Amino acid sequence: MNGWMGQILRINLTEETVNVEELDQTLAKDYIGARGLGTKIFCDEVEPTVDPLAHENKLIFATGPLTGTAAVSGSRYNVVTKSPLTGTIAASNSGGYFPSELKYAGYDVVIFEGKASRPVYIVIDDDQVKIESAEELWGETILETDNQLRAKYGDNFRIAAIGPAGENLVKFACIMNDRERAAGRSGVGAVMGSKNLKAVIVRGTQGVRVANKGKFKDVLRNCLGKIKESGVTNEGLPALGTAVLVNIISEHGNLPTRNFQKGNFEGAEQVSGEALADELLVKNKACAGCPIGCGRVSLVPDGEYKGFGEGPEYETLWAFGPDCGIDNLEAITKDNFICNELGLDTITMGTTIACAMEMYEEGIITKDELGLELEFGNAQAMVEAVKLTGTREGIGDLLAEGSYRLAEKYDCPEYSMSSKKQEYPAYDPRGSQGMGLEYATSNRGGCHVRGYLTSPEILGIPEAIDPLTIEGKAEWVKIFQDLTGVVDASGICLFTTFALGGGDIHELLEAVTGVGYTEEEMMKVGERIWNLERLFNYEAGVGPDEDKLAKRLVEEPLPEGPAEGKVVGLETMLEEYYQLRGWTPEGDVKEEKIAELGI
Amino acid sequence: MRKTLLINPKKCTGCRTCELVCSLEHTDEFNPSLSRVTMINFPEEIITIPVTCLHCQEPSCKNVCPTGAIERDKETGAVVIVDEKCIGCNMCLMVCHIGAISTVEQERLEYNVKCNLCDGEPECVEFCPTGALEFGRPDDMLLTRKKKVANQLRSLIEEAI
Amino acid sequence: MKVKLLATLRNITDCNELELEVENIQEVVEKLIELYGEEMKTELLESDQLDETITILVNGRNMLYLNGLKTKLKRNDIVTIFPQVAGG
Repeated sequence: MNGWMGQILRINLTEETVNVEELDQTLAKDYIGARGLGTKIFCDEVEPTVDPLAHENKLIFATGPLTGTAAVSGSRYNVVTKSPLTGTIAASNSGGYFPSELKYAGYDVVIFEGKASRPVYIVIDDDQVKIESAEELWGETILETDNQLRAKYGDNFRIAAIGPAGENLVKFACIMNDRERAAGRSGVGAVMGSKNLKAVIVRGTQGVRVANKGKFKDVLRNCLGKIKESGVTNEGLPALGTAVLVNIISEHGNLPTRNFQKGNFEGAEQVSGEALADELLVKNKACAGCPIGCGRVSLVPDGEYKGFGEGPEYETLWAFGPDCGIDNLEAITKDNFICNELGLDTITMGTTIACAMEMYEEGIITKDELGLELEFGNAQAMVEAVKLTGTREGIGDLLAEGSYRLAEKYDCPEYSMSSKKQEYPAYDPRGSQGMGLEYATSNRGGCHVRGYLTSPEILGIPEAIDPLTIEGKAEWVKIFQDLTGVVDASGICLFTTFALGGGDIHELLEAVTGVGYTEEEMMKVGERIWNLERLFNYEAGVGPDEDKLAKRLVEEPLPEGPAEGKVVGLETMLEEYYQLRGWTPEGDVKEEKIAELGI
Repeated sequence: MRKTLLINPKKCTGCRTCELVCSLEHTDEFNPSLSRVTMINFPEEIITIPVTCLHCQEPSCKNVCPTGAIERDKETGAVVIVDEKCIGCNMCLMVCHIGAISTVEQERLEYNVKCNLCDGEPECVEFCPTGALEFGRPDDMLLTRKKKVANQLRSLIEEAI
Repeated sequence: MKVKLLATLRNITDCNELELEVENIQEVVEKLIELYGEEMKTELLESDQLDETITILVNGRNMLYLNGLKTKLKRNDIVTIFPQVAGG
C-alpha cells in the first residue's frame, strides 16, 4: 500500500499478548486514517455503553496516510477512545515526532485493550514489541519518564506517556508525546492510566511509500508556495504563535473573561502573543514535516515562576489568563509547564479553575472547602490549584473531575462553561454565533477544532462573514466539520487549512495514496466520520438533547463590546443544521443517511 | 567558486523535512532511517540541528575505502560513493568523524550510503522551510553574516565614542 | 481617536497605538502610510486598494459590516488594525 503501512498492532494488556493484523484496504479508503479509521475500528469493537475507565474500553492510536510524509505538517495521530469526561467518543490529536515513528515501525493503528495487572510500558522496535514493567516509572512526571526511558533506550526512540494526572485518572489528563506535545482533550490520558499503561516508546526503520513521487513533489511545491504567500502561515504564526489571537479576539469582544462573564479583558495586552514574543520567547518549534512552526519555546529566567519548556499556546494563555482574570504572563507560562509535566489539558484545567473562582466569589464554595483563596486574579492560588489537581490532593480531587461535575456537586451546573461536560475554548460564541453552533454540535463536547468558525467569522479566512448574525452559519459549520474530519483523518495539521483548501488536501492524498478519490468522495469521508461519531454518542446515551450550550451563552447577553446585548441564537441555527445534515428535525441520524454513507 | 553546504543551527525548528525529502529522493519512500541527513535533537535544551556529510577536503572515508568506491565529484565537489564499486565493508562508516555514512540493509545495489548533494541541487536545501540549510557560494552566503557582524560592530563603536 | 496596531504591524511602527484626528477610516489608512512610509504602504495596500487581508475594526466591529472605508469616526472611537492572522 502507498501511504498506509497496511498493518494494525493489537496489544492485549490483560493477557500480555501482541498480534499484528492486516489493515482492511476498503476500510482504509472509506475512513482514510487517524480520526476516521481509529473511530471506525473503535465503534466496531467497543460497546458504546462501556464505562470509559473499565478494562472493556479500548485505547486506539491511529495515524493517517499522510503521517510520516513530507506532506505539509504530516505529523499527526489521533487517540480514539471513549472519554471519561464527556461519555462520548474522544478523538484527541497530537503532532511532534512520535506519530510518524509509529508509521516507520510499520503500523497505521495500535490498539490497546484490557488492563495490565501492574504498571507497564510498551516498547515497539519495528516488529519487536515488548511489554515491560513500569513499576519504577509510576508516579514520575512526563519529563522524568521521558528522560529515564531515553537514558535506557537512546534518543532514537520517540515516546508517548502519561504523567501523574493520567495515573490518578484526572478526567482531563492528556497523553503527552515527545515531551511537550499533547493529545490534550477529553481525558484520553485517564483511559491510558486506567489500563496501567505508563508509556509507549517506538522506533522504526520502515518507509512510507508514495504512489506518485513526481506528482507529490509538484503538489508539495504548490502547497508550500501557498503557505509562504499566506500572511498567516508565513508571518503571523511563526512570529507570534497561536497567541497572536489574544489581542485580536479581545478587540472583537470575544475573549471570554472571568468564566465568560464578559468578552474583553483589560489585561489582554500583557498576556498577548506580542508580549510573549517580547518577553519570554526563546525560539520556534515545529512538528515533523511542518513549514509553519507555531510551537513556542519559552523561558522564565528567574523568580517564583521560573521555568523552561514549550508553550504557551493561545488557548492556554487564555484559560489561565483572561478566563481566570489573570494578567501575569509568567504565572500563566508556569501553569503551562506544570500541566505539561503532570499531563493535564490546559483548557479544561484553566476553565475549571475559572468556574471554581466564580463559585467562590458567589459564595457557593468556601475558602475552607477550597483550602485556597481562589478569587479571580489570584495567580499564586491558581498555580497551587493546578499542582493539587494532578495529584488529586485536597481540592484537587474535585477539580480533577472538570468544571461540570464540580458545579453539579454544588447544584449550580450553569456555572460550568461546557457542552457535553467538556469546557469551551477561548471564543465567546455570543460574539461569534457560528462558533456557538459548533460548540453545541461537536461530537466531543465543547471544542474549537471540529469546525473552526472563528476562521471566517473573525479572521476572514477563507472569506469574511459577519460574526453577529446566524444566517447561513449552519452550512458553514457543516462544511467545516466535514473538511476537518478529512484533515484529521489524513494525518496532517488543521493549521494547514489557513493556507490550503480542500482541493490541495485532495491532491496531497491522491499523490501519496493513489486510491483515486474524487474531491466529493473525500468530503464524503468527512461526513461519514461525523455521522459515525454521532451514532456512537447516541448509543452511549449522549443524544440530540445534549446539542446545547451553557445557559449563560443563550440567556445572559454580553454586557459590553461590539456584541453587547447578544446571546447565541442556537435554536434557529440548530434547526437549519439538522436539516442540512439530512437528520430528523429532532436531530436523529436517519436510516437513509446511514445507508447513503455506508456506515 | 564551488558551492558549499551551510548549516545554520539557530534557524532549525526541528521539522525534519530535510530527512523526509532526502529519503524520498534517494530511496523513493519517506524513511528517516535511510536519510543522508539527520536531525539531531537535544530534548532537554529543545535544540535541533541537521547533521550531514560536510564533504571534507581530506575525506577519511575516501582514503580508507579498499575498493576506491569513494570519489570527489568534479562538478559539485561532493564526496560520493560509487554504488557499483561499494562492497559494503563499512570501513568508511568506521572512520567518518561526522558519522555521516550509513548502511542500507535492504536488497539494493548500494550498501554504504551518504550524501551526494543530489548532483548539485540538494533536496534538503530546497525544501528546508527556514533556511537552516543553505547551499551556495561561500563568499555570497558569508557576506550576509559579515554584514550582520559589521552592523553590530558599527553600533557598538558608535555607542562607545 | 485611538488607533491600535496588532500583530506584525508593530514591526513597522514600533508602537502599539497612536492618537489620530481624522474623519473616517480611509483617512486613517492614508495617515498611517504618510507616517510610516513605503513599508506601511506595502503592508496595507494591494494595487492602491486596501489589501483584502487587512482587517479594520471600529470599536470592535469589522468595518465591512459598517460603512467600509467611509465609516465615520468620532473622537472616542477605537480603531484596530491587523494583518491576516490565525491561531487556535
